[in-house]
Amino acid sequence: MIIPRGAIAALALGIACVAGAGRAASAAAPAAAQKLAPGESVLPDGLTMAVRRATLSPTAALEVWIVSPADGYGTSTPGIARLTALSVVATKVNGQSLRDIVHDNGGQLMISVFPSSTEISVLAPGNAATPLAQALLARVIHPAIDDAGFRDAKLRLAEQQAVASTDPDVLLRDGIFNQLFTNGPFHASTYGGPVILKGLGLADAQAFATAAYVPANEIVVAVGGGLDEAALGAQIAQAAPGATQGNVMPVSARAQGQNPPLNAGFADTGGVAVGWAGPAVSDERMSTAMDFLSDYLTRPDYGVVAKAIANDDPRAEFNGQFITLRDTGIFYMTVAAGKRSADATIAAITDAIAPVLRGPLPRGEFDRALAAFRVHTLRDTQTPEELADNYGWYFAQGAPAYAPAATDMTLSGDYYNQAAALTPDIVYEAAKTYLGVKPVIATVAPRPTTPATTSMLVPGGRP
Amino acid sequence: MKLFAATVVALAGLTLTAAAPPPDATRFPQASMLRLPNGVIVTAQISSDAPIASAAVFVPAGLAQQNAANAGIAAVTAAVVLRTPVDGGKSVSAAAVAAGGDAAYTVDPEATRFEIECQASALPQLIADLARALAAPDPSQFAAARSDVLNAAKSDDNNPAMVAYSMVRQVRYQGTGFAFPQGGRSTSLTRLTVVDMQRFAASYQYGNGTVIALAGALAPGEIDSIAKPFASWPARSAPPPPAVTAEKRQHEIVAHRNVQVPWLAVGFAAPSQFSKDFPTMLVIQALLGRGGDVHAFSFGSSGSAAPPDYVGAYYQYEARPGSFLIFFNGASGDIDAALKQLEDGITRLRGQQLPDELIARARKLALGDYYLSVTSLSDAAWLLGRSAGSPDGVAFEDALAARISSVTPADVQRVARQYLADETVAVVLPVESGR
Repeated sequence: MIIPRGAIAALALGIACVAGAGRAASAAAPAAAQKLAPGESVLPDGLTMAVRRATLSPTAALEVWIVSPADGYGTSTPGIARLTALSVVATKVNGQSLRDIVHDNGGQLMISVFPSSTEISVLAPGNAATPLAQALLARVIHPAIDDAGFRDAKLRLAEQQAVASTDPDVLLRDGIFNQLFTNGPFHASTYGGPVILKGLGLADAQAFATAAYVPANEIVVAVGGGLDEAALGAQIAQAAPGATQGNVMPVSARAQGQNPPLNAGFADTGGVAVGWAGPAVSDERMSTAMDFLSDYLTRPDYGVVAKAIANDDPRAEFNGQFITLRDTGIFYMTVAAGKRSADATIAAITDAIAPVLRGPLPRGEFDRALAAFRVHTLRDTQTPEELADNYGWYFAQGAPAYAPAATDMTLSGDYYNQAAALTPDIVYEAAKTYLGVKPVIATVAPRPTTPATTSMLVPGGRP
Repeated sequence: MKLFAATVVALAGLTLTAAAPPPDATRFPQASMLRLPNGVIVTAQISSDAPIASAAVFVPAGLAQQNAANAGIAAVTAAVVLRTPVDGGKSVSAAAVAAGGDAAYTVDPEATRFEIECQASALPQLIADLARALAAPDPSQFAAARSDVLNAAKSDDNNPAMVAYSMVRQVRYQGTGFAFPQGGRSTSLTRLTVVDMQRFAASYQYGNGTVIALAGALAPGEIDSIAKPFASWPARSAPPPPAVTAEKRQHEIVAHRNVQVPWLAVGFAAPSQFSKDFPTMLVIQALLGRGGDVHAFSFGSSGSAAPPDYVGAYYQYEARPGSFLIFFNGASGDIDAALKQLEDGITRLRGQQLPDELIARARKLALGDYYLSVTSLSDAAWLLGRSAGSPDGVAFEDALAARISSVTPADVQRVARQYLADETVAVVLPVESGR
């Protein structure tokens, strides 16, 4: 699966690895005996690195991905991974935080937290790639959190929680994950809530950093137009810390049976989401078929479901994708701000996907859609940031060599080989198996309008 | 708003950190440039990362070339072009989409820009399709295209940031088509005819001023075949757009819209992109608050790009003259206080030379913004096209970086004195507050 930047940004909510039906699964340290993508290597301490000179852009994407549970290792503490990442980038060493350094060099700093991984990334102007790589490595590979940094992070997380709590897309996606998993990092929001946040202290963030930010859990990715690959590789190797035992990812158990639709709360607008469990990333054939279906059904302005929803209700905001995950992928669609009821929206989605469940696509249509799918995938992994995200994401799912970014002009690599081998029958098999079952459903309701005044003397005021 | 406030506060007198050494140079990839006998420029940056490519085709008729009676014609004509059937009955857009690509238009101040991104091997055919549609846009698509533009224009009218931007342009670009809403007004749109559309499309057809910029995995033979359909365009130059009379007095204009809180934009004149003062103005933008890039308010196939909650700086340098605006949203804080900060910041910019350390930091931010604006093939094609059409040619890309790096405190003071005066203030108020 491709993770468009928009998805990553909005996602904040997350994804990750899960157990197979009815079982619990746990992810061991990710670097163990994985097939790596070209350009990737594992240092003696377990730190994985990927350096690639690519694109016409005068920028470099510098990223560290940390495979770790968003809700912590012991008692579930939703938000702890996000709080820790925010603390790491806010803590000042020699008077400057990572955020300060990136800003002063004209770069951009981003943090994305998913249920089973944290991404801290810097988009660097090419002229500042070397000092910014140095700063990122120093601050994230060797994390330090002080009281001031922690307090700054707490404020920022409180603000993020407030924003996320009104975003229908975030609530709906959280609702789908909440429905599909009964516990573990995939069950809870990566933001957490204000009550838990209030109770978290500096020691909690420091303890999480100590447990999670270890080389065996991490990949450093650098992709850019003017990179000196050898020098950057040496820089990463030099910054790598000593080996530390990685922690085991807590279990996220799949929910059994069919739950009633979940009311995920109130948002800026109403909305509904449907979700299905999909294959594990290790089943590359089925995962690629699900990516094809995701493209064919949900791509904006192209997918048949996306177009069906837009044609009937241009105001409706549609999102959908298949998320490739270590143990159980997730296919979901959300519709917010539409004029139709939740039931009518679900019926429209069901109607639109019906053709792929009835039988294999006609050969001509399939061939056209497969060619388009390949071009979409290439277009979605073209910027340094998109390429680096892709390497990081597939490392976090334990399948680095399967990353779509790991290809070239001839479309070599595991992902495009799998795409080339797709047939209408394989796609139909994937659709029947994973989308042919009843989906889980989540809804959000529009927040009630608050009267502008509470005066009893003003019309419309609260009595 | 936060960015803006934080930076202006810095400007108003914060403790400066030690100066960093000057940034190392980063070079843009080498570009080829070919000028056809009729004046059409074909320029390319080749990569071998993946078999995809992007093209930006600039034709020399845009918003400024409209008039009061036909405002909106630039967008309608571009929309008709992309709807024109070319390939087995498929439109340009549909042909691109069917191949996994995308075709879009943007109406710029002095050009209309068509962009196509797709598999590299498909690009020559799609560009040939586009050239056919440019030469003969299908009149039967006129009504649908106008309807699309009308809907997008209505949507702009409900976006307070777009309304404020429009009001500033209305004052500062009087006498040119850039003074009107970018998608036109419903009154002018409904009066447009097929003949208007055909007349505007004919104004695309100038060899001089047409630029085809390509980025991606293209072979020399493919570049040649992309150039071919444009070789027959007339070898003539587009007439210059009407000149703008410089605004020499302050204006404050007010509009009422269905918004919850007041919105405000303060607009100044600014150097355009090929002016010698352009790099200095980019540094001033970094000092006053980084905002969106030059296309943050552009109007195109998907309507307007501007989010309704846009705040911070916006520098429109594709227009001549350029303009520099700062947007304030009443929901983001105290507008009066933010305005006072802006006033203090500008007074300081104009009144004294700023410390070297502060200018060095701003240069770094400006340079960072410049480089970070180019991450995709589409970004690269746009920048390359702009550069190829500049007096410096494709060398403009690297030259601009060097010029940003050499801006001095004296430059900043001089440019601030020249441009940051006689502002236009556009205020968008909630309907209730005025009635």
